[in-house]
Amino acid sequence: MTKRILSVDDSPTIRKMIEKILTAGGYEVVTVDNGQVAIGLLEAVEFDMVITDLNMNVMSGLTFINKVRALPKYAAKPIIFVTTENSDEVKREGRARGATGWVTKPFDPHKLLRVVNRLCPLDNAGVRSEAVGG
Amino acid sequence: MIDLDEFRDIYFEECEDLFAVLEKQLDRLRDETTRTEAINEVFRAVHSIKGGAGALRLERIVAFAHRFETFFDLARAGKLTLDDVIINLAFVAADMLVDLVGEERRPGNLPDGAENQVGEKLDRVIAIITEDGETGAPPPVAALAASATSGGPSCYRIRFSPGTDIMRSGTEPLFLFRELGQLGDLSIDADPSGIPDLETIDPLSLYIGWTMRLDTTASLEEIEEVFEFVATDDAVDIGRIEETGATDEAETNTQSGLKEAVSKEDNGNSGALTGDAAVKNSVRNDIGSATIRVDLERVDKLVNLVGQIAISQTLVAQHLDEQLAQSHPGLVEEIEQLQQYTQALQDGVMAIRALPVGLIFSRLPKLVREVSRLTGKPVKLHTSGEETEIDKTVIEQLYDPLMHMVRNAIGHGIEEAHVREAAGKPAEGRIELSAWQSGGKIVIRLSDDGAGIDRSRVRAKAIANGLIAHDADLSDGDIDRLILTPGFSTAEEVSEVSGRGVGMDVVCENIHRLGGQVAIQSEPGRGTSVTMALPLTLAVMDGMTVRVAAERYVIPTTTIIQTMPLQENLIKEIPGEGDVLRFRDNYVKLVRLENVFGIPVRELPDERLVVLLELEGLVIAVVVDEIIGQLQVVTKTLEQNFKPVPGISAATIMGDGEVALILDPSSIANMRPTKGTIAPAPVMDDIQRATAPEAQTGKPEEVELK
Repeated sequence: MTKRILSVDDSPTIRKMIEKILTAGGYEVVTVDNGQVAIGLLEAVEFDMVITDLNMNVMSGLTFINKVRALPKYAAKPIIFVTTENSDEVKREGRARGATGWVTKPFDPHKLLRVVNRLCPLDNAGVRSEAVGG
Repeated sequence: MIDLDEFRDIYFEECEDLFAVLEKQLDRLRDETTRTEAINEVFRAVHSIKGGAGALRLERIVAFAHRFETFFDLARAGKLTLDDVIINLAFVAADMLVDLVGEERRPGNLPDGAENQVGEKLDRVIAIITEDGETGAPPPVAALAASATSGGPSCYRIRFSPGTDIMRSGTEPLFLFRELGQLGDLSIDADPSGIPDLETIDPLSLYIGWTMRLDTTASLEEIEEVFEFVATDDAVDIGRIEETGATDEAETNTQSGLKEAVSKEDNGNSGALTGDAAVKNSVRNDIGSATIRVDLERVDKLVNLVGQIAISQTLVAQHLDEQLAQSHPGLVEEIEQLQQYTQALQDGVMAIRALPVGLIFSRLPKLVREVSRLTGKPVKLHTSGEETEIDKTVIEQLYDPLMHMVRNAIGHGIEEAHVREAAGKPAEGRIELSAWQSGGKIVIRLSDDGAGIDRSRVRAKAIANGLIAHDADLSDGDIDRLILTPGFSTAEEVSEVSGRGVGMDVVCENIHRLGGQVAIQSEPGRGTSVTMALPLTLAVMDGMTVRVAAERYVIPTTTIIQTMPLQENLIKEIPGEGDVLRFRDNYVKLVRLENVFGIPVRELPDERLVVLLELEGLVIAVVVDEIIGQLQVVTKTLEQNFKPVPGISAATIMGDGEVALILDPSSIANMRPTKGTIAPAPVMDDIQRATAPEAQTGKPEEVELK
């Protein structure tokens, strides 16, 4: 079964890129342009992973990450952010808000896919993962 | 008591699947590497046939299947050596089983006791082996390849103690191990000492730390990248270990439960892969498994519904004018998205109706053996591309044409063994049947390595049948195509081999009716190949909408070679034949739709267009007033409600809800002007009624695979 990923970014280009790369990688991708809409969608539909921009209009990426992590359904789901700043400070801040990882812009498609594959692999590993967690 | 009759059809259907398995697996008996598995598969198939027959009290089938089963049980036990004689007997027995089931399904073809001869042969073999207690050659045992020892040039020890909260950040350690495992040979040692009592355990907390050993050719950077998001937490320590025998031993001996978990995980993966491959194989070998049976009626309801959705979607798109687009900028994108989903939905629904051509391919070896026996010509059939999928309706209507093509190939193509040998060919003739997808088409080709088409005979026959003038100037290709021309074959050809006396012209007509095309190629002394190109689905096609006066028609895009303005000076009238148009140094037949369909025309536009269509090398020019555009249409067959309408293959509902007729280029070519005898308006009304959604809810034709 495929995995469904939500991409939140106010740039149509980045949205298209992420969608294209991950679709080619075998994922199902839904894209939206702001965090508010994204939260509604996340509550309504089950996603396996979330990718968000940090610098967004309606709701900042960090706030968004906070809110997603607070949703019980997404307590342990991978969330990564896309950032232009390759600084440790941003990464630490992101982690503190609950992000799992990051990809720096401009991103290499292979790198993005590798990260997504690592955090949300495309096969039925879920059953065993529970065994390890417990 | 339960009425057994309702299960009969299910049983016969199951038998069809099992026969396909038998056919495939019997063939695999010849190959020693696949033999053991094939014996088991054959046994299982025969056993299932017997079991079903027993439940339905079909005694005759039970009795014969039992003998066959016993015979194969000996093979399974390794007591029966499967040489050519035995394998051939198995083939003959399988054919007999097919005939017995066929007789039960439609009685009257197989005389009582027809199975005795084969049955006695089976009994004799069984008797010899069991009485003598003799063991034949032991069954071939599949050799297991020893796994190669692998050792990377570098060896790393990785300590990973991520702390209790790592899973709350969405990191799943297991996934990291899997990624590491892809880099090389990984063994993992877990430290479970931190796991608290069950009462206090928090499912989202992690209480374990790990020490791993990784033998790999990957660089340190690649390993570090795996831990990219957790490295900041000081949780990871990667160090290189120098190889010493002692640590090596110690490391490999301390295999914790988790290592097993991971390696099981890996096994799980490879299991999944072989699972996929198995699904593919099962399509090839065992059509019955990994499938569900769905009532065709349900699928066709979906097909219709999806067609309506596509229409509604087009209507919505048409209402989106510029003003609306400007005030709702997102709308255009969303509608485009909707269109893509609709398209995907349509493709998906159509794919449900798709079946592998292997379903009919697997029925041909039996036919080849029969015809080979009747003609005394040794022939072997080779097939490929069995997994190629095509619409169910097409498959059902493909068997008869293929059967006739096979008969023709052996009857007329393949030479007698001694003739072949004299020509330096192997005595056994070869027939190749292959299928593949090419663009939006499914191509099926049947080729033989026989004598090729006897062109002088074909020519003489075409003259005798009045198809061509005795002095006609024809190229080799033209002569070969005559075989496909309607009226070429005659009743006198009825013979045991050609069976029902059906010629290639009839085959060709059937393929046309499916929206396909046939091409023939032949080389004297080398053989003949017949290629059929069929649409992927019957229900959706690409078309070009054209207008003539007030009527719109759809022309199948696959037939169109060119469009151009109609130039009066290129038209020539041939008495008795009508007008022709000069095109690429040739004259092609000019068809005026308003004449052949009797469309009332008040005034023709000054500048009209011609659309040039090609079918089997025959080009015709169709005159139209306007080309409206290209589109994909959902076709609605007319023949359930109407007699075949000449020149029309089906109808479709356009985006605006109006009905348009889809032209049938091959029959248009043969139509004569009606001089207005057909009143077009009532015809359109009837068709409109017939294609309206409520008219579709009637019982769809129940079609059965033969």
